[in-house]
Amino acid sequence: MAEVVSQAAVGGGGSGGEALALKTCGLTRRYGQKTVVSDLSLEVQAGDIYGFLGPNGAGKTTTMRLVLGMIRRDAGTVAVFGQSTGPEARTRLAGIVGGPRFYPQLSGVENLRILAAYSGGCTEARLVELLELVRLRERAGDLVKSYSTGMKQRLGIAQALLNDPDFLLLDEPMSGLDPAGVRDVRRLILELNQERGITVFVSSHILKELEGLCTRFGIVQGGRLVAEGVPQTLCREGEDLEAAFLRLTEAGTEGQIG
Amino acid sequence: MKIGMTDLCLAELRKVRARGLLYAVLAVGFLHGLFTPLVVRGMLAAGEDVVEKMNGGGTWEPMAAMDWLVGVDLTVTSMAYPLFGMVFAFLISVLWAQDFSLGTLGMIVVRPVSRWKLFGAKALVSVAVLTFALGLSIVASVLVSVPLFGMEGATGELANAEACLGEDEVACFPYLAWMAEPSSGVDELAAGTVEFVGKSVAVRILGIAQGLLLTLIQFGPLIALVALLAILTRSPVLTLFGSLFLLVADAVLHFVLLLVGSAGSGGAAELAASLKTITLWSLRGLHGFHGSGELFGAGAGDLIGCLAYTVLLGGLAGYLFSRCDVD
Repeated sequence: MAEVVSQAAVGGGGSGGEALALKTCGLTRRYGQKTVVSDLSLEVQAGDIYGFLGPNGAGKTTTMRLVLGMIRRDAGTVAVFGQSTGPEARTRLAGIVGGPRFYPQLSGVENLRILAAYSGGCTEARLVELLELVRLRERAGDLVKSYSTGMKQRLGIAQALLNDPDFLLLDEPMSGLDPAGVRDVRRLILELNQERGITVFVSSHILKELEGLCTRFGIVQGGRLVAEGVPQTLCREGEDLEAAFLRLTEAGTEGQIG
Repeated sequence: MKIGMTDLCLAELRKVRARGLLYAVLAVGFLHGLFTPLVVRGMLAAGEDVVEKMNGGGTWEPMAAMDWLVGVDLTVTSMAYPLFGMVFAFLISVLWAQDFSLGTLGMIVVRPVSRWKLFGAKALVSVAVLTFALGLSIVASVLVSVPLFGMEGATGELANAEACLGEDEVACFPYLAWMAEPSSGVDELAAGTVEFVGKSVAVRILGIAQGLLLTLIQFGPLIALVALLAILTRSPVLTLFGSLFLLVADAVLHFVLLLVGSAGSGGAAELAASLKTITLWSLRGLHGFHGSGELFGAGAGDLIGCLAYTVLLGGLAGYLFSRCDVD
């Protein structure tokens, strides 16, 4: 898996030369008495494929919802390419959290047309281009309810690309996919990063899904960021990434930040 | 990035059209337009004084016994009655709540458009569909009314000098009344216009326009209530049945207060009588001043009540929508 090298790793960066795609400071969210995300500060370099790892219930999805403005934050700040989140900042930001959802009684392309309206419109040529990118052109006219989970995931990525974002958040995009589906999504993420210069922030609770794909990882546990860095800095001597992940998440202690 | 309201409205229309509900509402509107004149004709045949009922037994004496314009007027006025209202409530429940229940709202609110604009698009589409359904009912009503009632009333008697409206009749129509009001600063030209309009078919068309506007205003609280419930329940089914339940509960409350107010005496009865006037059921009397000449009397309260409910419920719904968490 080590053969995979993202654009950031070779010094690229397709986001207008800005160093940070995302910066959060003290991000906090509570549901009643329970603090789901606690004082979370992280930075994602432009051009990275950033793997956001953590066990179930660690606060990954809530963090991504906070970044995308789907839910209110109790404390903290979020900046995307230096801009506070709001409608303007979201012109460069896109994402799918909690799995892609569509209008099942409509076709794939009709779903894209509807969602394009919320992104300032989209030409038919652009729709075709996106459908080709996610390898769904042949099935674009079929009703979404006839799509497999993998096809819905790919259509989800296509709809996220409608506003031509520079930064893409994907919440567990390989969840529930068969091996071929996982391969397709991994390939797509790499293509978006390497060929289109899109910074990708991808979450998972399964390390194997992200291993070899991401250039940098953040590990979250109990709503706190316990470690952040490139794979080499997260692992102790003789330890592979999986062992490091288990050590950090099971101990829940402060890891190496850097 | 500029995102036009037209594009947002078209997207909302596409969503409801896909479920076929849009066509159902338009079809019911059209059928309403077909059947109302038939019912009116039947009532006339049975010896009922439909025109007097239409005016709520008010002060305005009809210009002609019955013509196709009156049939159309009655159609628009009667659209607020339960059947069309329920079908319309079904459509707007889906329109407001389906993005919550399908989870698609999560893919919409992350886009570069403000939530207030999304809310506004849904509200605009609700009103546009209602207006279009009312328009269809008018077309259908004309198609049926002309052969049923004939053109004589409109083109013959109405245009006749004998059928000219007097000062009292002019006052029945707020626009005309305003124009005729000396303190409004309108000069003789306006007075001449009033006289001309009073003599022509246009006065009835103005009446239909007034009925259309009042019907739209009357649906305001329903649209706002559905929006609020959709945001609170996040389910089309709960939104539909919740809003229907609240409307029925409101009507029951109205009649209980009516009974208490009329049967009892003293403070409690007075309070009941006062509270009765602010129920939505009571505000259905909005059409009472449609041609009754009481715009600035009792009818104005109903008009203000409807607008107040629309603004309060709609404003609360918009505020909650702009701040709610989206899963």
